[in-house]
Amino acid sequence: MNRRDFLKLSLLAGGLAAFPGLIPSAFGAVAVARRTLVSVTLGGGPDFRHLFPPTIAANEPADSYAMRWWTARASSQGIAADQRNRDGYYQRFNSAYQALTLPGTAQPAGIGMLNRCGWLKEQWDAGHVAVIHNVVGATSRDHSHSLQVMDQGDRTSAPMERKPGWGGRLVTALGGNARVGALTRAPRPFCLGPGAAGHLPTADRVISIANSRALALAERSFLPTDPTWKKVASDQVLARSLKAYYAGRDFAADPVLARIANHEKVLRALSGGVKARLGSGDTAATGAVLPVPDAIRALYAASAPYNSRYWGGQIRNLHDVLALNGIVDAPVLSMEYGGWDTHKQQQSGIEGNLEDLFAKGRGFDTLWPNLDATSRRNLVLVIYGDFGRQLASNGDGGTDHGRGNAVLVIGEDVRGGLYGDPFPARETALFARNLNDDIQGLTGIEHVFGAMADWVLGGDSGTTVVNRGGGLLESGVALDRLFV
Amino acid sequence: MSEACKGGVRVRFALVALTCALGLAACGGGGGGDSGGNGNGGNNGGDGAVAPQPTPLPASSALPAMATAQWNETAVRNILHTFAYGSQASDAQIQTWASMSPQAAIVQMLDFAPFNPRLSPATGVSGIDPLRATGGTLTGLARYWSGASSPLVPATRGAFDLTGTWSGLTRTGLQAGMTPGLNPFLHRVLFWETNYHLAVNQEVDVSAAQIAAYYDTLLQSFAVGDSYSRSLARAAMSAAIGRQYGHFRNTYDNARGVFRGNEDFAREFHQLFFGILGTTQPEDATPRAAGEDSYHEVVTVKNTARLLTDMSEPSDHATELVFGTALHHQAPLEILHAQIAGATARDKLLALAEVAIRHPESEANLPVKIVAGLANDRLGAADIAELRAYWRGMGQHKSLLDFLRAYAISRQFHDPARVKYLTPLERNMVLLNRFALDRRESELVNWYSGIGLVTWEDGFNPFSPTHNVFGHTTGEETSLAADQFRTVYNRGVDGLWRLARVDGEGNAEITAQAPGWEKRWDSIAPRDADGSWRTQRVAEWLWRRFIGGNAGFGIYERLYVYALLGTGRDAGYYCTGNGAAGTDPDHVFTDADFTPGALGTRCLDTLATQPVDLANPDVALRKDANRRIAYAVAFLAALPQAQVVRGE
Repeated sequence: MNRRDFLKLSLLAGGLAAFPGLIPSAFGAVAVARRTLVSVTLGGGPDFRHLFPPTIAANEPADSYAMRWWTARASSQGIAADQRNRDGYYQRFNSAYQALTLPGTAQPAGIGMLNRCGWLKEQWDAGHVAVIHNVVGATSRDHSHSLQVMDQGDRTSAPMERKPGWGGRLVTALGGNARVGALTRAPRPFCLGPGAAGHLPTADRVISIANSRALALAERSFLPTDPTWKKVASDQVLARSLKAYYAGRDFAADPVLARIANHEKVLRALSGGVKARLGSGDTAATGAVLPVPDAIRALYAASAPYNSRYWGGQIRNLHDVLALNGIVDAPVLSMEYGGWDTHKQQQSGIEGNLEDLFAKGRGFDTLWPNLDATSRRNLVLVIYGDFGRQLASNGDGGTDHGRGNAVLVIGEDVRGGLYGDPFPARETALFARNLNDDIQGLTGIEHVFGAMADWVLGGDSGTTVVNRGGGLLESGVALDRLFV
Repeated sequence: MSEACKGGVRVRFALVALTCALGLAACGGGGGGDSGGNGNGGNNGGDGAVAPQPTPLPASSALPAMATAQWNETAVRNILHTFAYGSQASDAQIQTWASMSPQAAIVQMLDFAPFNPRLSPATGVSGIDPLRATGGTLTGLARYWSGASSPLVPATRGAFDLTGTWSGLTRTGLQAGMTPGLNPFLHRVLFWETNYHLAVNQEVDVSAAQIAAYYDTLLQSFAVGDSYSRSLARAAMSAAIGRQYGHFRNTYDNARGVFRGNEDFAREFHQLFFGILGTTQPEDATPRAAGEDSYHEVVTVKNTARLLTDMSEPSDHATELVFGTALHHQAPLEILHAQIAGATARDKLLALAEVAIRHPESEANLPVKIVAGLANDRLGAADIAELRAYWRGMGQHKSLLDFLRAYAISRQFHDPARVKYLTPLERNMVLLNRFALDRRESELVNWYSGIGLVTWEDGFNPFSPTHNVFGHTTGEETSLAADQFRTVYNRGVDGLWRLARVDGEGNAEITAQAPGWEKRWDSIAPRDADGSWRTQRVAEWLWRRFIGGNAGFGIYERLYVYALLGTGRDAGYYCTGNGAAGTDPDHVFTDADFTPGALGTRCLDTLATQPVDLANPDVALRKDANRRIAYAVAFLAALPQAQVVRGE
């Protein structure tokens, strides 16, 4: 009996359950055996400058970058009109943010981090968070096009152009049985792999897990000794008809239908292993062999706001797909969280979202205790959105579309710190121009995603996943040092 | 009479005047005013009668039509499945359309009148159809289904109230797409407009009444034949869009020259509504001055934001905006290299739309967006070139209706390379439209339940688009989602009860709403020459009815459907012994079973001629036969072929 089964049986027997404080918080139910990349798409254009603003001092000079930034961002920070002065900005920073030091040092990093993001702060302090600044994908400031460019990892993609996603290309480069695990409602274009020559991208290497606890196809069973009426009950008849039809009919010659029919094959192939590893339901009481941890289950409870529920469901899927190690080979995973298009009342909207992702007791923090040391080393998160926002807030307490933005990379294998200039001096003169000025893109996404591909592949991915030839790279940024 | 409807009296079309006279909300959206269009094509007599033959669609060299020789019943059904949720058109009507020229048939099939009796006859309704008094608008329909004269049981009516439960808008919107006597093509297009192209989201503080008014504004605009640019302008000035993007709060201080607000819709008016990104034309992409961003960003977007000022809600979540002048940028504004003048945001939006519709990026992108959204996930370069040529050729007055008609009869639409995966909404609407046999059945709303299938089971919530203003779940996304497949598949087993009911026995609601109701497929199912119903003919008819054409009904599909229809049992059980010793219910038929003389071949032959006694005087036998149709339909609905439409 392994340790996990022992603990589970103990809990079921009521032994440790009576003393919850004795239950280890990290019992390692989830084992990640190989390097695994989790791509998190924040749809809408997340304002990472709101998460990481410049620090401001009590005696901040009026012409400093920080002072101009806070002046330009006062309304999107939710600072009352009569508090829009140095004291007000300083007070806001001190109440809502913590000043960061560079990992492993006492040296101020010059940026703050939102207090509510306690888990992210822990990861930062441990040196596991890299913030890559001034990254650019599309420059059209159009959501659809920009997301498409990020999914495809290709800045040359034209609007509505069909290309494989960089996640799909990455698992193709990995070869073998590697799949992209889509933990979202529907797989993002990020997941699609290259089609045959002259053909559109394909979903052949995608495994779609929108609800890891509801993967089973309807089946009915009967005993040979059952009476005839039971054997030919209508639901029995339909269950057998469908199962036999899908088993016997070969759709390979028709890729359009095969895409759909393939779901039946995948779900049926998974069902035995998933049932054995996870059981059925979310809790032991409902038949789970590996119950969803309570903290994760709370994320998608009916009482949670809808967006949080959807995100919470993906955290459950992530927990489960990692727990299905050996059954599902998905070294690339895809998650998403929408609602970042903060044109109005940004402060309340974005901070709730950030809390869902990064607060203690929320998002990734609920997953982390379930990972053992090896798993934590083998897991990296890369978090990005369509584009960044403009330097100054608008007249509605929000921010409008920009281009350049930051990308977050998190994991124990990551060399934490700041990559690129978080607050370029050129911006100082632009805050008050009212000409929709934004973050200048200095590093192309190809360099960031290329570094991710190198890490997953364990070597130089060359141009097999993304084309880094002639790409943009900010002076002084060395993404080949992104991982330890 | 409301201010909005005062505008309506100037409208030339009797339909709109009738709608306003009934006090319905269709005159909203701030558009009002004269229509620049040529009407909706006119299938709809004012008294509910079918109007005479409208003028055939002119031939187009830009978007070539399929040859008349190839125009047949399959082609007609293909159009109906793609554009009209399958429709409720009768087999006779479909054959009539197939016998006409495509240009003559299409103007009958697809029009924007609120009622199209050929496409959607009010089957089972005697006397004056009460839906006529609703004007066919969502607001009117919600009032009817939730009101005192509703055919629904009292306990259900409140669920259709737009001001009541959260689901009123969802239920009404779904019911509009599946009720015989309306126009499923119109609602299909309106749903796409309001949930994909010009999407609003009731999850972000846009009220159900605002969305319904917005939907109805577009409905009226389409019905009177507005140009597409005018329809888009009317959408842009709606309260729902104002609330969605927040510009109903935007102001301009003319004395100080200060704009206050956000630029969200200033950008999306161009990007989402018209397809203008400002990136391909040098005059847009080039900065006005050194050190600035592009002209599009600094001039077009910023001035559009100034245009969208003083368009406020007179009361919280009002369904119509009020267009003022005091806080509006009064001077003309340079946008898209044109001077846009007008006293109010409304006036300027109408003017700006006429410029935007001719912008090269709009003329390139908008037709592609429309067809990709409604009908084709696999547009190729040649297809796109044709679409653009046709669209551009319409000049200033672009007719969405003419465009969709021309596309629906085009060679490229009927090319087998065309593929459109169905969204959960489209898939379920086709099923419900083809399964409910008359008005009474379609209004068994807790049984043939749009909200039950689409929202609760498939997780697709109308008017709450998953990607917010960037649109709802697409067919392409649906096809990639294993969970969607699982839902469809499992419904064929776990949800069989919904389809298999053939009477109201034991159900208080059905008994109260439709006393004596019995599902009777004999009213429409085709008979053999001897007057009886037999498996093969009925099965082929079901395939056409639910899948859309004749193609693809192969030996595997036939075997399982024949067994269900002819015996009520599965092919494995029936063909291997039907309960006798040696019966193997789990037998999987493979190609080897369909060689001459093999088990599958022999069983197919036997099953093909089995009687399906849909009108047997013995009630139990008759109900059993009708129940077997439900089994066959449940099976068909769980196949990949029911989740996609494609050229034939």
